Amino acid sequence: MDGDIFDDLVPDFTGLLDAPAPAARPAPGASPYAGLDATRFWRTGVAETHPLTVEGLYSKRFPIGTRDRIATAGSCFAQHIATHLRARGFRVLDLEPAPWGFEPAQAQAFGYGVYSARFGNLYTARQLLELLREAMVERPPEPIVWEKGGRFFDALRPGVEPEGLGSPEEVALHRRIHLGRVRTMFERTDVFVFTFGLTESWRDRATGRTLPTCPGTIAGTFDPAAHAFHNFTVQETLDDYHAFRAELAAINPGVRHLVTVSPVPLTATAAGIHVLLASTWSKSALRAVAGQLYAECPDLDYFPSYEIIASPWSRGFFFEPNLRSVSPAGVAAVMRVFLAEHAVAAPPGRAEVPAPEDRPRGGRRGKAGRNRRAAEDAVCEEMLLDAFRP
Amino acid sequence: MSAARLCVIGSSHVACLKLAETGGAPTGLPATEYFAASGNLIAELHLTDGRYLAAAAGGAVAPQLAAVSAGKTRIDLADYDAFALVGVCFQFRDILRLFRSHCLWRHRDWRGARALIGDAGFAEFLRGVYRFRPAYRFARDIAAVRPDAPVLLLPSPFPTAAVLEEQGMRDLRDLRDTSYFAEIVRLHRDAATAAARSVGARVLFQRDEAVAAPGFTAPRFNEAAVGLRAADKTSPGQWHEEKRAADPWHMNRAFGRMRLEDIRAALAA
Repeated sequence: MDGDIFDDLVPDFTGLLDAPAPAARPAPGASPYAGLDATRFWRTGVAETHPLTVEGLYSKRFPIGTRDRIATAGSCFAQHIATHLRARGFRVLDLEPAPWGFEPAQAQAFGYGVYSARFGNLYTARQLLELLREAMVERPPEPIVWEKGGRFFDALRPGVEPEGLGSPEEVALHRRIHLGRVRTMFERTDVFVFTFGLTESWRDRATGRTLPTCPGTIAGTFDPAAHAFHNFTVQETLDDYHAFRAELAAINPGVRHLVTVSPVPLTATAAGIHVLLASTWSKSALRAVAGQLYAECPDLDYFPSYEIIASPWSRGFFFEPNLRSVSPAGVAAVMRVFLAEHAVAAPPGRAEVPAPEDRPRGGRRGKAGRNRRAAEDAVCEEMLLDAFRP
Repeated sequence: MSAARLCVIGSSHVACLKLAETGGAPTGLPATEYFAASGNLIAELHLTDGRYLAAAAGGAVAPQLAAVSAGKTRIDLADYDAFALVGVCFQFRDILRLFRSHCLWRHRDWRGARALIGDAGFAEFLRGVYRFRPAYRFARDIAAVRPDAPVLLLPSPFPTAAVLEEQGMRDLRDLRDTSYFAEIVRLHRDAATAAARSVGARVLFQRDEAVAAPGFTAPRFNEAAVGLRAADKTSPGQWHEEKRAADPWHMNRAFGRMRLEDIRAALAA
């Protein structure tokens, strides 16, 4: 039990406006590297350390406590974060809980309990920004609907209904209700956790909306006249997140941000180059964005899950044999570092239920209502691109 | 199918069948033994060497089994060549639990759209529900020991509409006679049937003549409702008291007789 619960209520912004201080000004003739901590040198900070016993890699910018309402969104990797935060007693919002009776694996397959609402994976900052804007308007535009086998899919979250819905009208109603829940999420969250996933994306030319996956992967039909490839630049991604942060602050002042970069490489690239080059570029761009945001935004923290998993330091320990999926050991290593800074002693398994006006009427909440995830496998549309491999 | 020895296993809903037989079994019903425990206690029985042993289950199961079966506390599956599992598959409350929080889009106007669930999601929900109901495990157990024995699943009866006056149910008063609820009931029946088929069993739903409206049993089958009765032996506990008060959930001897006739007809088919 935390003895100083009030500490969690008052974020510690001391020193946030100061840039990370270099070593004290050296005396004339002395090297600025002299006397630095061991973590400042590659040999002692990386090469001679073990990935499971690292210290000093992450120092929280602000505390995240058990009373903070946390919303999660982002790429596939972010799903692991949400799962483990819940298991550790953090109040992770779930504005679209699974129906009573859904087993965890079933719930996951329908997008329940994966993030704080059933928006599916948001791989890019642009998707996130567009979602916020769509959720906040009084009359959202008609959704983009894909068809497959006589069933209909919400193009902006095709994976949450694996078998589609019965009609475009049904898709529209589902989305309208979903956006209401998303709006509530943005209005109520104290800490917004976002994992940057990709820079490559596909855009619907007619609406300008950024799609989570190329049409034809889950549903729909790819048409170069209707769909355009776009590889977001560092500047575009940075601008998008700045815009998101500003617009979110306008409706929810005081919200803090925690960003990470997914260490999961691209499944496939449409950039016309080797996937290793494309993935490195993409992750480098996203890491640069995260670093710049950290430098510019005092209410934003960066958590180094990318470095823990994907840097040479981990020697590939934390990838599965496909060199792409993060192993349970990797997820555990990430959470260990996180919890070393944000340790809580709260009982596990609590998820924030919707406010009374949103809470389903009547009934007890069973296992599905607590949205415990049985499977470690993340739901990933991007991974489905592997089906097109020769 | 033809059978000489029928084993009935189930919940308190076995009571009306047993008492109906006491009053005169339908002609052609096999020799029948009954094993029951209240609520989901019967689910604590697990197969060991071809038999269910009450002593190996929780402490409350054995006395209830003994009270119902004239002292027997073990069920040797090899002793029977037909089985009826009563009140341990489809339950009315399963419908309501989803119903209160989610609705299908074509019924979105019913009490306003809270959360929607697609028909595929609803079907998946139903599959999950029936996967874990005791009846389906029992059916698999029986198939392992007596692969040729027919297994009949008799769902818990629908309650009477009086259930809508219960605390916690009053918000559902306009359930009755709605096309939405009728469709939900139909979907549950379809899911229960498919689940039964997957384990080699067959569901016997209550007859239309016993249904006042989809999801509700005709009140005449609730008059003098019975649950497990062993008041002078081992009392199963609080649900006995409920039987002395209004109880829209359990049915009477007449209902039990009708179900025995259904079993007989199914076994003779």
